Amino acid sequence: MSEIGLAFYLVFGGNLLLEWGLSEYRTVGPGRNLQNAVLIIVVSVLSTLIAGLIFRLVLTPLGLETLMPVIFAMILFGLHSVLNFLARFKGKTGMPLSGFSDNILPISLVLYAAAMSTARIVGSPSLLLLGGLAAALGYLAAGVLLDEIVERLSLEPVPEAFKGSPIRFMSAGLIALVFTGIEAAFLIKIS
Amino acid sequence: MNDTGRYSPFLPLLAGLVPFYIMVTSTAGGLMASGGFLIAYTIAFISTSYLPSSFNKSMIFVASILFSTIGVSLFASLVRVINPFLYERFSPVIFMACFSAPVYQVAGIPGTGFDRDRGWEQLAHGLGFSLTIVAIGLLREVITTGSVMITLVPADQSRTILAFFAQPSGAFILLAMILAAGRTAARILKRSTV
Repeated sequence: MSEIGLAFYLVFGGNLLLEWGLSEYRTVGPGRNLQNAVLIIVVSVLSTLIAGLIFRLVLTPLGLETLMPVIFAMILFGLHSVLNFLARFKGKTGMPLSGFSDNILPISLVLYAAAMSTARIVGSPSLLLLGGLAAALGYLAAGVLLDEIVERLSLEPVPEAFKGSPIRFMSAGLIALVFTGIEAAFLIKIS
Repeated sequence: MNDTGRYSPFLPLLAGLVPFYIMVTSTAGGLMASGGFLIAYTIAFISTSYLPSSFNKSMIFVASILFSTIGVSLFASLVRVINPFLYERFSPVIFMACFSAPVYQVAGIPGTGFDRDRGWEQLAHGLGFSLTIVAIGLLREVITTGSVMITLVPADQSRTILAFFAQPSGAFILLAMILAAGRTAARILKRSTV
């Protein structure tokens, strides 16, 4: 599995049940999907870049690689504060920080960025951007594509045992399989 | 919402564990991920329960997550000392533990005296979640290679039975099959008791 693929699968998997409405915590409407996808690219690339630089220039020479999660959490909270400050500066409401129930976006970002930073691909800016795009695609796939599939499935005679969550997981598996094909054909060569 | 039309408190948390289910393809990986997860979850819960009530919700959340990342870092260091190969191979899943939805959830709810009294319940939930990670890793290893390596050395990948289940898409299909089997078993049990 390439690092770019990892970004896709983690964001896709992390948002899956939430985007299906299986949780009461779904707060992001379909209209905000694209806006959030763009935000995912910007914040995840930034956070991974900073984390990767600290990893290479500070932690690795000192032999403190295991401190990566601490550094990473600090970077994420820092970026979150900066984004909220900018949002308030523009007169908009900032994204709440206290807990995952408030917004699903932070989870997407965190999952993606954790995957990317631990995969240590920060050396290549183009890979970072591709990873950001893959994560955004994972987010959109969990939101838009699966909504369409679930709607279409309601017209099909699904076996009783597979109705509901199981058939949705099956659909997710097929989407992941499509991405595996794309990954094997194109992405694995460049990452 | 679950299939009966009611919201289940566990489904959002299951959503947070799906990335683990995708990444964990062996028992060894499952043990490493679940170890990291259990430490992160426990520390986050203890932090939220015992941090001073003068702290606001956001401060408690940030402090709890930072404490759990420190705990996971220590766990990763321990793994590295015991077996550097294991650390190199599984550090991504260990590090992911502090950024998972169940840890976020438990860190985002400031504790009260009542919560502290029911602390064992929360810790049992954490243990249950981590056991599911090990179980999925074990199952995927058995299906993929036909064997289980309990020596924390990854199984021989050259001998495969159903290699598809080692892929991320295989994890989704496996989860679908587990859910369908569970539902069928529940229905049969219900019928037999009526």
